[in-house]
Amino acid sequence: MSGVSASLTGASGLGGRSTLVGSAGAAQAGIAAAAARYSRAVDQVSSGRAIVQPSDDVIGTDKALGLRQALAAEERYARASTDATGWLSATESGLDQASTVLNRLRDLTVQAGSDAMSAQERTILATEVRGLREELLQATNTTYLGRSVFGGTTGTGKAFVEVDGVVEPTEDLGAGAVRRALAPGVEVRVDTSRAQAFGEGDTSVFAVLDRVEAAVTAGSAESSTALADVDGALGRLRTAWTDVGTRYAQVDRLRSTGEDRSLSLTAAKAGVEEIDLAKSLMELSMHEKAYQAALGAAAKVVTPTIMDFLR
Amino acid sequence: MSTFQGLSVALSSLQTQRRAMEVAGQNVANAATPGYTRQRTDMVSLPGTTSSIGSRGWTTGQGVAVAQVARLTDRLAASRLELASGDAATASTRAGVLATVQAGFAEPSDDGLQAKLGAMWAAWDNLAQQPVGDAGAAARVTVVASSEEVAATLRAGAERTASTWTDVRTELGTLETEVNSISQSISELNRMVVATTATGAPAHELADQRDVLVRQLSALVGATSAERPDGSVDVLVGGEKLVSGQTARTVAVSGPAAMTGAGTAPTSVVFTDTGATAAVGGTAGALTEALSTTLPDVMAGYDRVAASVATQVNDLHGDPPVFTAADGGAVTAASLTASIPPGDVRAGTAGTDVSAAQAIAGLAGTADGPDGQWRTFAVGYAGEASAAIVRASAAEAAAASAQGVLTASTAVDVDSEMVDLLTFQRAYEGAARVLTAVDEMLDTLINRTGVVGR
Repeated sequence: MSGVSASLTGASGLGGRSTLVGSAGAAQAGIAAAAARYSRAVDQVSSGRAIVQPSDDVIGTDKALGLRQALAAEERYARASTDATGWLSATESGLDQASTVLNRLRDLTVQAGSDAMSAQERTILATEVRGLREELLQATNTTYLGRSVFGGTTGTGKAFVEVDGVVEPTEDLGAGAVRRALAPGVEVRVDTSRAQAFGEGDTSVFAVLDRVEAAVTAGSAESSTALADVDGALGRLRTAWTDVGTRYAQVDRLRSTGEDRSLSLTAAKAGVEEIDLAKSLMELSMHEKAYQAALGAAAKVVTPTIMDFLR
Repeated sequence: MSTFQGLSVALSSLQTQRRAMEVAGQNVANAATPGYTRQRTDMVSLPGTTSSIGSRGWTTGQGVAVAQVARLTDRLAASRLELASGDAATASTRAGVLATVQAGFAEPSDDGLQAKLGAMWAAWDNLAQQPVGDAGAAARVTVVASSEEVAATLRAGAERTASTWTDVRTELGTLETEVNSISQSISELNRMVVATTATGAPAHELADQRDVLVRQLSALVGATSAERPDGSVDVLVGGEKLVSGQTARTVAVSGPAAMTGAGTAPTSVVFTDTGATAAVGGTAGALTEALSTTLPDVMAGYDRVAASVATQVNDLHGDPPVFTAADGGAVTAASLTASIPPGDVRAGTAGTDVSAAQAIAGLAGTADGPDGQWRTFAVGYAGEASAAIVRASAAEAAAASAQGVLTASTAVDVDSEMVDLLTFQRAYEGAARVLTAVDEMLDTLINRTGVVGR
């Protein structure tokens, strides 16, 4: 009989015979398994994380990494949109200032169009026009954090400089436009082209101003002609201003959708990475009970034997 | 028919029952001994003497004798356990190695490489917004610091992988010593079993000790055993004999001593005498696999991520490179460093051009950028670790069940031993009663004959 496997001839292998070593081993394995589940539940509740190590939830890990990457991008977009708002606000105030100057220039030009002006009065008007130039230069050189908002990517902090009495745009060595990425795939230009806002060459506000100065001195007819020049400059300025306003609204919209996106990403990340506290606590107490039950069962593992009934 | 035959019949029973009770006692004494195999006294009735030619009349048997004390082994369950424990050891060791690997990722968390990469892209983005002046200088310092942080994280990953390799190699060395000492002990026990059996005495307890050792070898190197007719066993590793009866061979670990050589020469376990590679399973199988494939692959993964960080950032930045190898060679995870002076960090071509900084910050969103490479790498190993953990728990359950089957068929059931003991005790009492009866009969015959009526 010893040659035949008892595990084959026995009724069901494991259940065939009840041995001391066998039942002790089974009880021990039960305790170890219950303890492992309990300790994992404790880990989750104490750390607050559903994914203690990546293998706990591979798909969750992948998702969490993706969500974290997207959240980091949203943080960059949020910072960039604050920066863009700063640029556009500074641009608006620069355009506001320039428009005040140009309106004053227009008033002066209209005044100079009157035939009643004496030569001396014209000289005074011309001096005032001259004075506006300084103010206009300041407006066109508006800066934000040390960078000229109309200067594009010039290395200096200025968009225009006065050289030998003539105001000229500074040289732009870079790409010419300053852009901020504000959403996935969306870039918004935050500077404003000086050519668009202030004209270039003959149409440049400074050229216009120089011409107005000459016209004011020359006489009423010339001044009336120069008025069209000034109106042209004002028109360009208004167009640029409208453009800035549009972009300002766009940045605002992008920021608010970005915040929404950020919130939903944070919620999704929490859903993947963090535990549902109520559920985890329930599981914890369940595993605790299971562990205690395993211990209790092990205490009774030495089943009564016939020895208890023999004297 | 001898007058005194009744006495010798009773005596044979007394002796046999006492022997049987001793065996039952030995079984009960070892009810909790791990690896003990229960024994059974096989009794045989002794036939009467064949009568001489022409003799008539009846003969009775000559009582009872112990035919053998059998060791109730279960070869099938034992070899099933050998295979299952080898598999379980392989699977759980492999899962352990992968768990160590993935613990090094620290993902998903705020300390992982992805968070560090995110901080680096944010620093470049910041430089793109503030390329000039004091703000620009500060942004450049941040770019260098966050780049160095990325490099340091990758260096730490490479270092951890290399030290895991060394740990595993040390463990394999310890295992080699253990295997050699166990196989030596098995051959010694084989010799003692054969010698004891030759004298006619049972060597069951020695065989038990030996089988426990064989099972240890199964877990260590995936060994299986085959019994010989003389009671000794051969131990086989991958089909080749590690222990052949009373002679044991030794094994040794062959391969590089440090991880740097792991790429070219795999680590293996070889037989010392022939130099042939042993197809080891068990713990040793998983350890050699970790040393030859898994850990070098992990290191290559770290290197790929490091190379993609260095190449992609350097290409967009231009000269001088942001990331370099500390040793001047090719960029690896172990050598990656960002030691560029902050003043040399360029945002763009000139002036306030920020095309370079913007392009580098844009790497954050590209599918095959460093983030994507890292994610593929980390999630890939998390998947492998998860699968290995599932396999390990299945293999451990199978091994536990095989152990249960073997225990159920070979360990001691105290109840049945008690019943046996009762049976033998009653049989002993009966034999003693027979002795008394024969004694009384002889008393009548010898002392009372001829005194009737006196």
